[in-house]
Amino acid sequence: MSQRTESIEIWGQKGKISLMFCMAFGLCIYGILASLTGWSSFHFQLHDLLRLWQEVNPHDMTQQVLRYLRAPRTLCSLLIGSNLAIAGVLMQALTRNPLASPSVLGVNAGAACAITLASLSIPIFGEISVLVAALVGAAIVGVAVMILGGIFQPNTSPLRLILAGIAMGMFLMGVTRFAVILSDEQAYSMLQWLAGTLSNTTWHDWAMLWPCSLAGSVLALSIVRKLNLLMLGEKMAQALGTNLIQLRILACLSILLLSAVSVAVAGPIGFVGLLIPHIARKLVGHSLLLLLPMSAILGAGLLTCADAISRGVSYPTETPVGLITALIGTPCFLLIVLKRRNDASA
Amino acid sequence: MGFDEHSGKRELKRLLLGFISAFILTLSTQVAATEERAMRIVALEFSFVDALASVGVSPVGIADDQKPEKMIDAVRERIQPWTSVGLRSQPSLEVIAQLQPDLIIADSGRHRSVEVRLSEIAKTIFVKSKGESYEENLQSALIIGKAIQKEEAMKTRIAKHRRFMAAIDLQCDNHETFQFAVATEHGVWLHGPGSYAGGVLHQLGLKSPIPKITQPAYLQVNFESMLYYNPDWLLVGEYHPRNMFVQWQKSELSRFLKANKYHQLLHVDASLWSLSRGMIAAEQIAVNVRRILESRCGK
Repeated sequence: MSQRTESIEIWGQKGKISLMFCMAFGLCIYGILASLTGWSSFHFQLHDLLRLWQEVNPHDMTQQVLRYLRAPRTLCSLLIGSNLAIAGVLMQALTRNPLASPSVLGVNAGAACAITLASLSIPIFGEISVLVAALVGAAIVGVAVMILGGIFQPNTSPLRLILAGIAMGMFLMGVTRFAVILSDEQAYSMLQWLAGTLSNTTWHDWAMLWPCSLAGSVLALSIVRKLNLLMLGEKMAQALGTNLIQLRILACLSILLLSAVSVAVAGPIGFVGLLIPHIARKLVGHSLLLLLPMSAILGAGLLTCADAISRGVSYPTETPVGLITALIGTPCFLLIVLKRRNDASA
Repeated sequence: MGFDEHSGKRELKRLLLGFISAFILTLSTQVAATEERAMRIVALEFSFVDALASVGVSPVGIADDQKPEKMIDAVRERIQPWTSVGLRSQPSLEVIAQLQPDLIIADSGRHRSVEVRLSEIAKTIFVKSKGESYEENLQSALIIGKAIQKEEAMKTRIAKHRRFMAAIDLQCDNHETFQFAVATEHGVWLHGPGSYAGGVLHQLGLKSPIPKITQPAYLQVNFESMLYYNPDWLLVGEYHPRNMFVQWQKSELSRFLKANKYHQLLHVDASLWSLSRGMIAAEQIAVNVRRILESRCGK
């Protein structure tokens, strides 16, 4: 009897998780359709998408806008949302701190600083493209924070990594602000980019985005089991044969790849990496084997929806998508915190 | 004795006259000195310098972003050498104070946060500059004229400017749409009819592809919106050589831009078209447009 109850419970649990995944996919599909057809002066309809699927007419401007502007933008938003969410899960697992997000590695601050310096035509930075500048800036700062955070040393507290990230972030924020003040005419456009925007993404961005995202995601999936062990505590993980230094390096590399390329394409988009892992944890529990894919799907869905909303807020002017994620993320995050406090007190 | 009395009176008269003339001279010198001092003006925006230069007044200090080349030659030629007071967005209050100005002309939007501190240095007037329309600029010029006690001269200059603009004959069919845009590394902004450059084009009788009332002065657009507005003539002012518009031009979609199709995409000086709002700048823009259309219309 008890065995039967147990198996019913397991099937119920599996059913619930499957339902959650279906809902997350539903959000993603809604986001894709909204991002492809919503808020356009060209008044796109679903049948425009079908026509594009059936026959490409190179002289039809509506079709070509869908093909060369909307499609890469939607794909980029899916991938960036997924990247940031995965990076958030990894960061929280690595530091065992629920408030950690990919920005802790200083990647956002590094990319932003490099971009603003590039805009000022500062030698070296001024000669490379915006995307490459962001990628290089993010990578250099990420590696620097990893070294300062002592991830190559045994028995290092995750707090050291967080502190190194905060210190580096503050320094770079100062440099970025100084550069923005100096840039004057370009300051407004720079501030828009610093708030995170997808408005000018192209197939060129997609071509740079997907290989890094794939590499970062595969790397993340390859260490999921070991990170699950790390959740039990460092000593337990080591006792079960986990090489902590190697694990930290691989996790940081994955975070770096996923965040740096995302920031390079869309600017620093906040809250996705922080919020999505919490929502996903509520839906599928703490096991990273489920948490990672659920976060990836939810992150993709959230960012595509946020991108569609960002076009409609003050149409036809676009609002930076980072502001929309912050507007959605802040109340959600506060709700989670309040609920957790109530649960703890109960 | 009688002779002496007469000569004494004459001496007294001469003495009195001397005193009076000395007094008048001192007074006039003081008035002149006051007027001279009133000419010590600090301008915190390029549009204010344009207004001052239009009536032959040179500011002693200008917030020129420490890049004098940002000001158009026509304005620079009309004014005396000046001291840079730093960035327009963040002028140095210390340098302004050192110049001991009698009047500071500040932007009503940008410089409100330092209103008290500027007023402590000298009399400060706040006039709209950033985001102002063509007509607002002329109103601002009038306010500046009053503040520098050259109201009549400014009125005359404005009337002359209006005549100049009205006399510009573009010698072209004006049914096509014209749009000025600025391109930075991270975006492209269309200057709509409510903006300064848009107002100048409107004054010249040129149509904008942007509906007038509903849109803000500066409209940030992505490529999709640019294709929607799709102006017949597109005048682009570049703030950076590696800007967003250059990237758009590499796109497959650039062939749909009418300006590309009809070879009516032109690069113009961003300093003139965007930064230098004022009568001198407007007249230069008008001449610029006339030249462009003359060469393109084959007249």
